[in-house]
Amino acid sequence: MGSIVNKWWGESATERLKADNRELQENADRRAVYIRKKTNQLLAVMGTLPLRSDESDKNLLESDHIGVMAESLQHIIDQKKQLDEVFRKTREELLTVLSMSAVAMLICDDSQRGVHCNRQMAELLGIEVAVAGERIEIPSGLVVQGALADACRKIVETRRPARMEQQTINGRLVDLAGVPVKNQHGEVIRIVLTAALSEKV
Amino acid sequence: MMPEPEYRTIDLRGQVCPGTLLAALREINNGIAGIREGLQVMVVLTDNRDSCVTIPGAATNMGLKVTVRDEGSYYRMELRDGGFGI
Repeated sequence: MGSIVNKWWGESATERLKADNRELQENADRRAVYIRKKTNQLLAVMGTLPLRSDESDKNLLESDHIGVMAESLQHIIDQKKQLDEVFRKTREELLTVLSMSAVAMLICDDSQRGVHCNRQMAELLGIEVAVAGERIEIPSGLVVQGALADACRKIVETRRPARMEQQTINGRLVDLAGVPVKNQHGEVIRIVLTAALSEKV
Repeated sequence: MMPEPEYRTIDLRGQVCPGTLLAALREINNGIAGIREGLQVMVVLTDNRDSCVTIPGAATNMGLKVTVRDEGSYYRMELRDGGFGI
C-alpha cells in the first residue's frame, strides 16, 4: 500500500503528509494538555476534584468543560451581584432605623470600639459627631467606657443579651440593654446597645 | 397563582466526581431560567457521596436551594429557586 501511495504521490508528498499528520497530532496533544490544566483550575475554583487521569484527550477536546464552568461562574457572579445589592439596601435601611430611633443606640465591636451610633446616644455620651445626611459619623477609634464597656464585656463573655438597669452615664441614670451579633462560628462580632432614661428614681 | 413546577430528573448514578458535577452544571445552566422563575425543580440522582457536597455547593452559590435525601442506595437532590432568604 505504502509503495502504491509513494508511486502515485511521490516520496516527498508522502513524507509531507506524514509530517502534517504529526504536527496536527502534536497540536491536538498541546490543546488537550491546556484544556485539562484550565479545566482543573476551574474545578478547583468550584471546590471539587481534578479531572480523572483516565479522561481521554478525545473526550476532553469534544466536551466543552471550560464553557460549562464559565457559564456556571457567570451565574454565580450574577447571584453575588444581586446579593451585594440586597445587602447594600438592607444596610442602608438598618442605618436609617438606627438614626431615626428615639432611643439612644450604639453599635460596638468586640473590643468596645464604637462603630455606629445615633444622635441620641452621641448627646448622651457628649461626643462630637459629623453629620452626613440622616446619618452621623462617630469619631474613629472611640472606645466606650464605664457602664457601656461593662455591658459590652458581659455580652462578649456570655454571648447572650444583657440588661443593666440604673446605670450612670455622664450623670444621667439610664437602663442599658444590649444584644450580641454573632458570626457563623457563634463568636460575638458586634454588640447593639440601647440606653433609655431610667424611670425608676 | 403559581403553576406547579415541572420536575426534571437527571440520573447520574454510576458516575463519579468531577464528571457528575460537570454534567449537573450543564443541566443547571440549560434550565436555570425556569428554576429561578419557579417553573422547574431539577432532581439529581447520584450514588457518589462527593457529589452530595460539590453539586449543592455550586448550586447554592448560584442562588438555588438544595435539599439532599438519602434513598438508601443513592441520593436524591432537589434544586429549586432559593430566593435571597432576606
